[in-house]
Amino acid sequence: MSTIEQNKAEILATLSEMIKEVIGEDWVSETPITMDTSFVSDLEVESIELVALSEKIQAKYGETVDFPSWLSGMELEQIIALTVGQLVDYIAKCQSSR
Amino acid sequence: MPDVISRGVRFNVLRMGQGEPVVVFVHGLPLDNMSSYFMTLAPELAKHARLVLYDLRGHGRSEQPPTGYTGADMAADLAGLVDALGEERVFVVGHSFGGYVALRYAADHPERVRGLVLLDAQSGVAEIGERIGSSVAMEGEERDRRFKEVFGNWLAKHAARGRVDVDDIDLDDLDADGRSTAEFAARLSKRRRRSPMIETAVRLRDTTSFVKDLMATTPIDDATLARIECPTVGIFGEVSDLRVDGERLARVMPRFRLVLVPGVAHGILFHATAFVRDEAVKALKELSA
Repeated sequence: MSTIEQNKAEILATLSEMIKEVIGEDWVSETPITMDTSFVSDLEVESIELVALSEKIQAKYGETVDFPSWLSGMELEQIIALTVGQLVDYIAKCQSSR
Repeated sequence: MPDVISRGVRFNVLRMGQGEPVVVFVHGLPLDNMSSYFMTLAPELAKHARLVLYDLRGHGRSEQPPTGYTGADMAADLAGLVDALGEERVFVVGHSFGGYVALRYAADHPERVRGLVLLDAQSGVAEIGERIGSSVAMEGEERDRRFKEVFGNWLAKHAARGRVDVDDIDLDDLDADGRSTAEFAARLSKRRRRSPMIETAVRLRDTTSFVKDLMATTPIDDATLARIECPTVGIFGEVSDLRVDGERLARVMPRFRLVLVPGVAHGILFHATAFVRDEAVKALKELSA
C-alpha cells in the first residue's frame, strides 16, 4: 500500500469510529463503514448529526480541515449523495496541502 | 465547545470563526436546531465574524426541561447565554420564531444588542403562540390540515403513525416549501432508524409545557417594537405568510430595512440560501459600520 492509500485507510478507520459514536445505534456499530457508504441513504444521518461529526473532525484534525465550509459549498442533492469516501478524500487532500 | 449553562439549563453551543463582531444565531420551532444555520449561512459568515450557534431549550442537543418554553423564557435563556459566554454586545440573527426571541431580547436588553438580522421572523401579528401552539396540540385530521398550513404536511402524520405517510400527499397541492418538505418526508419514510429530530419534537410536545407555553406567548406590541433602536435588517420571503410581519416591523421600528426574497415563501434559508447568505453578509457589514 502506498503512503497515500495507507493514510486514507487510517482516516476511514478514524471516521468510522466517529460516525458510530455520533449515531450510537447498534445496527450501525455492526455494519462496516466503507468508502462507498452514503451518509444519507445508508447511515440516515440528520443535519444535527453532521454538526456533531464536524465537531469531532475539528477536535481531531484541527483548523486544516474546514468541514462546514466544504459542506456549505454543496447543493442539497450533493449532500444527499455524499459518501464517507468523499469526506476521506477531502481530509487527505487538506492534509497533503498543509 | 463544552455545553453552556443558562438559567440552570444545559445548552448545546457551537462557536465558529474569530474576531469581531460577535453574532448569535437563534433557530426556529419546533422541528429545527442550530444545524439549519450550520448548513447554510454560518460557514460563510464565519469568515467575517465570530459566531455562536446554539440549540434552543428542548431542541437539538440542548437539555429538554419540563417547563419554560414561552418566548420570554427563550429570550431570557439567550440573555443568560450571552452573559455566560462573557460577551458584551452581540448581533443576533433570528429565523422564524427565533426572530421573535431576538426581538424580545433586544427589547429587554437594548444595551447588549448591536443589531438584528431577522429572517422571515415572527413578531406576533398572527398571535404566534396561538398559531404554533394550537397546531401542535391538535389531533387527527384537523391537526394534519393545520400542520400542512404551518409546516408542510408531515410531522402530524409521522407523529401519529410512527412513519411519514407521504403517499396520500398531493404534491401539486403544495407550494415550493411544502413540496420540498414532502420530498424530505419521503426520504424519512424509508428510514430504518428513528429520526432524532422527530423524536425530540414529539417528546417536546408530549412531555413538556411547550404547547401551553407557546399558546401563552404574547405578541410583541407596537410600542415595544418602536423602542428597539438598534439597526435591523429584515429578510422576508416575497410570498411568505410572514411578509406582513416584516412590513409591520418596517412601519414601526425606527431603524429597520426590509429586503424581500423574490418568489420564495417561509423557507428562505433553504430555498434561497445564496441570496440570504449574501444579504446577511451585507447586512452585517452595514450594521457594524
